[in-house]
Amino acid sequence: MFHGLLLQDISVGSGEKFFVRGVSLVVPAGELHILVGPNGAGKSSLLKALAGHPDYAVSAGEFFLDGENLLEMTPEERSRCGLFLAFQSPVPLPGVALGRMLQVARQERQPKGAPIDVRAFYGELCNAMESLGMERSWATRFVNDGISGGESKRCELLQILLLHPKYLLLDELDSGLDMDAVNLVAETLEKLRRAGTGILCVTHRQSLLQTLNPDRIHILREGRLLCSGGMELAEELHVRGFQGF
Amino acid sequence: MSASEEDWPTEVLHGGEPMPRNIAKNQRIVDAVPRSLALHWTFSAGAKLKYVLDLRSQDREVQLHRKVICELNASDVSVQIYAILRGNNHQRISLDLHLHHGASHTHSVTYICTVAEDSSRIRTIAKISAAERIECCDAHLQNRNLLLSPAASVETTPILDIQSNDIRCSHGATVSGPRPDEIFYLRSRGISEVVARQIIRDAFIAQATGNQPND
Amino acid sequence: MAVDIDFSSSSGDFSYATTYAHDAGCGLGEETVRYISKLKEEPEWLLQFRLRALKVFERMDLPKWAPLKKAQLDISKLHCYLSQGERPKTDWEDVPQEVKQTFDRLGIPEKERKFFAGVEAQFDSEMAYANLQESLRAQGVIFVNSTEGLLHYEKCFRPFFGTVIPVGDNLFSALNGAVFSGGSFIYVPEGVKVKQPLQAYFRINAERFGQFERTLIIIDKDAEVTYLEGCTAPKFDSDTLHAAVVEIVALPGAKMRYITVQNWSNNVYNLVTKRAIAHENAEMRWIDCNIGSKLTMKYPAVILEGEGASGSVLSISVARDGQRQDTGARMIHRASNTRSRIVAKSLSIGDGDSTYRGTISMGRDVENCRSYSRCDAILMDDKSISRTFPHIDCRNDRCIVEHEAAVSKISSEQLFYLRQRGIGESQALSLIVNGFFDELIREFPMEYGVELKRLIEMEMDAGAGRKREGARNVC
Repeated sequence: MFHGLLLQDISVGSGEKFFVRGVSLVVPAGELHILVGPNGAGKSSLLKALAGHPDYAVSAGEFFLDGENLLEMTPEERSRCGLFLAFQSPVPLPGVALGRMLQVARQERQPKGAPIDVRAFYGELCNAMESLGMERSWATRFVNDGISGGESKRCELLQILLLHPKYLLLDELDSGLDMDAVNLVAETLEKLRRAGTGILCVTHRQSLLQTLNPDRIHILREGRLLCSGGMELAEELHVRGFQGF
Repeated sequence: MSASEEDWPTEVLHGGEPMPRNIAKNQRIVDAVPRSLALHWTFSAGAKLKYVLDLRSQDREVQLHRKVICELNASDVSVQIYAILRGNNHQRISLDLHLHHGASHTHSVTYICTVAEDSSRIRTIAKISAAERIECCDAHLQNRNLLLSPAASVETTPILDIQSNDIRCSHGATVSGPRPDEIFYLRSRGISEVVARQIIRDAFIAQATGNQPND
Repeated sequence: MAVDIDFSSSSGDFSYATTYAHDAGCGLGEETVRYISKLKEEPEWLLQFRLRALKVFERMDLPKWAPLKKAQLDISKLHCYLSQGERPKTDWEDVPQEVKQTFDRLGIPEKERKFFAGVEAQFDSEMAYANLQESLRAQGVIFVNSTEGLLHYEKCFRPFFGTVIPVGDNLFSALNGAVFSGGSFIYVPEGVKVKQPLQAYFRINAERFGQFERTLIIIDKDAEVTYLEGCTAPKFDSDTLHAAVVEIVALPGAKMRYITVQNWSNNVYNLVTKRAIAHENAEMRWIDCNIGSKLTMKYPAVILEGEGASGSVLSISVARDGQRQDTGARMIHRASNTRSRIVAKSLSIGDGDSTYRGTISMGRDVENCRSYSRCDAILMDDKSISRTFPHIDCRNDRCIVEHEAAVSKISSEQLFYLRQRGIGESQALSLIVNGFFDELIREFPMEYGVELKRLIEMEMDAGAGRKREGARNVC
């Protein structure tokens, strides 16, 4: 069985509005790939469609995670299979505490509703927060409510550390971040990559290519995948810009 | 406001128009009729209406009423309403507005500003209603009221009556006099209180008309 | 101090066959009123009060906006007074067996031991049990039912009785004035701060019954108290009526918090008039949760009578299929430097109907008053209904009134976010809805907060049985 994300001829949208057309790519476990393209290329739309967002229906193509057909699954089923989408601007959830949400998410992953060890869970939560330099009070703060871009990215990372996804879809992870925060994210991603997590990062900023040192780069423009390659593409992109492809 | 909106045909009401009327395409309607009127519009699919109301009168004792009904009963209809009501002396000014979303994909945005001076009284009822089983609708209303003298008064009732859940609806209303810190600031610059209030009133109206296309 | 509080309507859905020593018969007429007054051995002035109220009730009608017609009440089929004929006991062991087993089953005696400063438990028309901590009694706190209050503490209560809500105020206050029985009369002396809440529990046991409790709370200068009211009834097929009157007088510097968790079964018409007068620097807070009943009409009000007074209404309302919660708040600013705050949140499920009616009034001669009100409504399903009628009347230029309201369904972005974290749809909905009510639930004592969240989730689960889960076109 192939361990990785497999996209085959994915099209998102229909009728008058196509976000993405005929995209095929593969992200093996333990590799970090970057999908780069100008604003409006369809990168975010593609990620949302893969995660099962109701507004972005996949109209054609196949999508497999470790051999499982995700297109037949609901968003929560895809998540439980090991797919995590880190949003560019995560929606606020007033009144919903971060710790509580994570506890529920872990509980829902339990086989046949077996209860989780709440003490152990909160222990794990505290350790994860510490490793990200987050204070304990974050556990009771409301999800994405009244926080800055940098803080919301940290919350997304915290969730990744606690939900142990096999594959990450990261949407513009460096937007709103200063250099320190970007480096923290890059370090965390590197640890995850070495532990075998497959990562697909989406960005319109070429600077991220240098920071993350991906295994593969894919270029998306106007909804179509123009080409894929190694770091040598980064050089070409730097010289020619997106228009040059 | 886009250039295309400036090109919309403008109609200026004179108060003799028969109602109800159907708005078939984009239309801008300006209403500065200083008499009581009842207006009632229905819409064809895709039509857009911008209704601009400036309700005031020179008559110091007048009772001035405007009743406006908009039935958004076809899809892709959008309505924008900008209303300013001004009262002074012993005037009684009132607006009774009802926006009914009866079809899917309808949108409305309403701004109502009122200024009550002297012993005038301004009353606003603004109702947004939504029928059952409609989808993808939006309705928002803002009502700001400025009282400029101790004997003036304002009554406002913004109503929501929503029977479908695929509509996002909100309203807000504020009622206040001029802010003491604003008055003090102007007085500290040597301006008398009476004139300071006039300045604040004019600024309030300018902000309100700033939302409108050229008045 | 973990206390197991259970307001679910299923846990209250039981009744015991009871013989009533006293029964005023079906219907309402002068003989009903005289029967009740004679049984309670009331003085002439009180009988006259009741008879006057009856006349007003017969003459009056409901206002046009009411979601109910006078004829729907059908009083002729209701028992307006049913009791065991016993005075309230101060020891649970002395309470008649059929009554005691009801309260045991609801867990009241146990809660009292662990949590409350004083408890009154009313069973149909009369208090079966009433007890107050000795230390409070020694400080002069009075906590009795209405009959005892008016007969044995007349000097204390009579001057205020009927002054906050006169008989002719509305149809239900007239009805209540004629046949009231039970309810809490509370007096807190000057400077006394009652730390733990006083609790009253209202239980309807009989079928085709009207419960008309009357509460009068007087908090003297600088005193403080919290009062908690819970109510349940079994689910009968016939209608039951609950028309209560609550009058509160907060003297200068007093602080009062009145908390209600209403989860009547859905055959109860719940028609309540609640009003407080707040004098100088007094604080009055109504904290209201309406989950049950077939129809509730309740608009807690605060008359801000003295300078510096403040009033607030925090309201949670859940309307499920066939239910109508018609609630709101009224704030009347009659003095300068007063503040009011209203936060009302509602959830309509299935074809449930939640309506908010509010009034903010700023008088001509007051200044430096502020009022803020917000109503938010979530409509779960495509048949759910929400209505908002906020009325603002401001007659001077030295005050500030702000109001906002929003109605929508559950945000699909929020739902998707939680589902992408692996949380199933119904759990996600619960999280979002509890988050929506969170700031209000925090105002309840912690044990109640936990129970309220559970209740709300139960209402949603029950509603979900009818919900069609399909792909929807989101725009």
